[in-house]
Amino acid sequence: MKQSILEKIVIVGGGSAGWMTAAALSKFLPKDRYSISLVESDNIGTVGVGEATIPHIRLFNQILGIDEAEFIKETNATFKLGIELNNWANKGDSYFHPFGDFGEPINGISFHHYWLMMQKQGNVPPISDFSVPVVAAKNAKFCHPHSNKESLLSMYSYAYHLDATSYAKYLRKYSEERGVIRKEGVVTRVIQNPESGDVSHLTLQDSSQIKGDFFIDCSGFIGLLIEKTLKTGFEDWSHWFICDSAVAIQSESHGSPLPYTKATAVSAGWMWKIPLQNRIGNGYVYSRRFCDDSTAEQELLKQVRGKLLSEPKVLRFMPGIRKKSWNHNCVAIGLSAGFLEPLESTSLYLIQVGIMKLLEFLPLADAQNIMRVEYNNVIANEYHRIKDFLILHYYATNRKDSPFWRHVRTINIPKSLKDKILLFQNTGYVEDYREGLFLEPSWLAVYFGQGIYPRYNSPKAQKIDIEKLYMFLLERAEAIKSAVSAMPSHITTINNINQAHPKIRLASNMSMYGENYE
Amino acid sequence: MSSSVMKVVIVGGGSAGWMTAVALASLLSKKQVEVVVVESPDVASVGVGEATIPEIKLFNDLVGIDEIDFVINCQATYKLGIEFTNWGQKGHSYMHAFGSLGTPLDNLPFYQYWQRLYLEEQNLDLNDFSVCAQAARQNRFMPPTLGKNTPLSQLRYAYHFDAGLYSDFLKRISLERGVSLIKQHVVGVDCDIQSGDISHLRLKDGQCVSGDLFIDCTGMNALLIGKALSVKYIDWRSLLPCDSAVTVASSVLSDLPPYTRSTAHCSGWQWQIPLRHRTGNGHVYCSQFIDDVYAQQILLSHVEGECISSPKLIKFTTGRREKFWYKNCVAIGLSSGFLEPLESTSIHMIQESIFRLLDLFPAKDETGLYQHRIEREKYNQLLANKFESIRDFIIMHYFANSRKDSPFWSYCQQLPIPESLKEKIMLYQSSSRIYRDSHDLFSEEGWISVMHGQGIKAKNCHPIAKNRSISVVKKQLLSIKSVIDKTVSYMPKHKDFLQRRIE
Repeated sequence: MKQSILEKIVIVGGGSAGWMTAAALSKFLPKDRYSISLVESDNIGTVGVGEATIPHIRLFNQILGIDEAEFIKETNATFKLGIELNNWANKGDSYFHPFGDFGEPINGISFHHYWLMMQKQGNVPPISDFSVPVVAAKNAKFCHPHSNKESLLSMYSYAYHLDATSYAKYLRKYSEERGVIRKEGVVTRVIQNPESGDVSHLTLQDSSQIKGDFFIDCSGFIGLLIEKTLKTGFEDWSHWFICDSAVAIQSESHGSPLPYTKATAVSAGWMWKIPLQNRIGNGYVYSRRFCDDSTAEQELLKQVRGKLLSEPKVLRFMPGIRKKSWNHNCVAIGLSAGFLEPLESTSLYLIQVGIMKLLEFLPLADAQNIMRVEYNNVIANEYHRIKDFLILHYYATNRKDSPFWRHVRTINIPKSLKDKILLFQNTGYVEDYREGLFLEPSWLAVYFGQGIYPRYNSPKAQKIDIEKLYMFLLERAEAIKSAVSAMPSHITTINNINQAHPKIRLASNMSMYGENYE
Repeated sequence: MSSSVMKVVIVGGGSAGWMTAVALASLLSKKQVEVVVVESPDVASVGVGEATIPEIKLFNDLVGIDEIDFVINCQATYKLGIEFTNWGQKGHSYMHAFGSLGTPLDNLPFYQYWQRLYLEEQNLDLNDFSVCAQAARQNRFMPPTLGKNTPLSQLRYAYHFDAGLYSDFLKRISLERGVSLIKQHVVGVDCDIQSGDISHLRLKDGQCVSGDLFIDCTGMNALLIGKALSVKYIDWRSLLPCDSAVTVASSVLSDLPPYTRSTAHCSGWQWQIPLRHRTGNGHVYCSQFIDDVYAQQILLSHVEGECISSPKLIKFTTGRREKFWYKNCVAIGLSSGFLEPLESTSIHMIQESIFRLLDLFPAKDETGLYQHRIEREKYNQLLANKFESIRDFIIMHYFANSRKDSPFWSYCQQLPIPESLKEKIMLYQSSSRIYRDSHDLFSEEGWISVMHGQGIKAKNCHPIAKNRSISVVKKQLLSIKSVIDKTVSYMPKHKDFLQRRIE
């Protein structure tokens, strides 16, 4: 084979996508057979969203061999146990989407069937009381999950809030130490091979040329290679997601950082609040059809407490997905591959999946078409899965208090989501799948949090001794409360890590819900 | 129907009928569901599916069956995998064992490192890195131990058992748990003219049995789903040409091997399933290439030990029902489809059907059954995917052969295979990768074992596996092998272990 020939991989664009890709490739590719370079310009700002993550990021850091304590320090990270969603179904509502399930199956039947049955008879604690991460989050507690599977404190996972710009910097150092060549400059031309149509080289502003065998487009929304050059096409999802803008601003922390992200529905969209160690990230995702930029900025500023640390920054986006993430000898990773609003903190996850999948297909330069097809299917599937889940948040609402929410009610949701909801209403069943995000615990959190319940008691749950079940539920909720009260506070854990630099060796996996969840 | 209790009528006993009955009776409350089985006194069940895959333990656990009780009552033995002989080529043999292969390194599956070394040194046996395969070859067995990352904790097992005894066993439990049994022959199925639903069954003694939900476990007859409701059958014989089997029981094998044997012959293959009271044998063949008489001769000449029954002929059409749940009728077992028992999946498909039905179990309110269109759609889609993924896995055994000694095997090499399987094979060939989707029953290790065993060769391993030098990889592989060898040498003989268990 082409063992001795050097394969040149060129990454276009820094930012989270570019440097995460560079870091992973530099870690895993044999140096004698691959050269990796990354072109970026200091003059082009990065979007730098995606400061809230989901637990999969831990696996990414782990396979790169990144020390958690160092990472926390470098990126000003805090821990995240889930998302608090406010005002979604009705004004005044609040619920959690936690990184953990709501109790383990009993006799092979999902816990929620039992809870539902008892709840109809009244007098059981709310489902959130059965989730360790919810109870911990509400009490601003955090410690690493226990490895003893018998412990209640093993029943959750966690992610981070991080400074995406620092993370990119950190990974840049990591990559450069492992031989990635960074080239400063603006790409002015992309030249294709006239016969194959493949990208052959780039021309920079200073008219230097960069040749490559394989290109990774991390240029963001613009899609310099994948779209501007290869004209791959974009599937527009704005008929499902009417928000097209966001305004973001940083503010000074007030009080200790919370171990969760807040997503609060407001008059023309929703606002995020992401606590880092040194500051808070605030943002408003809105629709310009219902709110202009200056109103959005004012609305956001009204909600921000503490001193402002940055100028408001407005972002425009188009929700949707690139028709092919991998086209010719170019893969789009990050915003060039697609955009979904950060309501469920999936931006860095989608980058990670793109990278991990790509690593499976090496060597890239002589990849066969079948690999591109599989890669594109896998990536599209990820976006579609997340898409349905996000739409659910907007669909399952009773809000009529603003033109935005009155309009959201009229949106025709995808059939795949319609069927999922109907199936849940009929049977309480949430389909299980092996690939892609959001399994039963997440769907339950949003269904229950936004008022979608099965119409009937599941016949499966009724076999159990009601008295015993009732006692078990009460006991379990109490046990969780008491286990959480013994946990250290979130800030204590962060301070300990910053001071003591402990070696944290915790297995991580591609799951939202912790090791125990099957 | 004004009662809020839902009446489920299962038509047909046998493995499918009684597995369904015991599961519904054990997992659903009597306040909600009444289970009735109508079993014909004069129809015999096919009684195949004596070999299983590890998922069967899940079923037994869920309905609360004690393993020892089960082993004693069903004359069961343990199973660690299947040995395929003469499949890829004559004289060649490999094992599709349960459980894991080696241990992953650097987040890369073990087989990538194995492939790396294999590409350099062709004399490497994949089975050396499977604790199940090694134990099977030495007739040893013990259940997995607790803990992580030791070879024994990675061991997975299933059973061989007498399917007739299993039905009887489940029948006893079902009756104890409140299932009612009507021992009568069904002579007619009446449907509601408006809804098209089955309204009641007419029995030979003139009795009528009504119900809300009917489960068709009548086997290949498909009395309800096929005859009464006219749901079509999709014929897969163009993909899997075997259409006949002849079976015979033989005397007990003295060393009681803890694995199924599958030996390819000139126009089909023969199974050997070791039980405690007898050995099951069968020859699956394609009648286009060989007649029934000759097929029987081949079977008998390859039986180990003495035959203790007369040969029995079974004709089948490989395929599946177009819809498994139609109107108020669900087909479970052979009425839903047939795949030859090459990978011991018959009982598993029954189990899968029952679990999915339980997941999507229709509720009933005062007005009767509500419209359960969405549940039916989901059920039909999930089951169709499952059938097709198993079908593809079986096709691969036939397609990927390099035998030149018989027209049948040459014919199989030429068969058009499904696109999804073609892609899987190409992907493996190019980079030793396995792409598994949600409904794939078999693990990556399973796919690798069979692909490699059948002689499909990968051109390359994953580049990350090349980060370690060949000598380091070799050292690691040898050390994994030696741990497995050591472990297996401590395991008891299967026969002794079983004896101790049932005493």
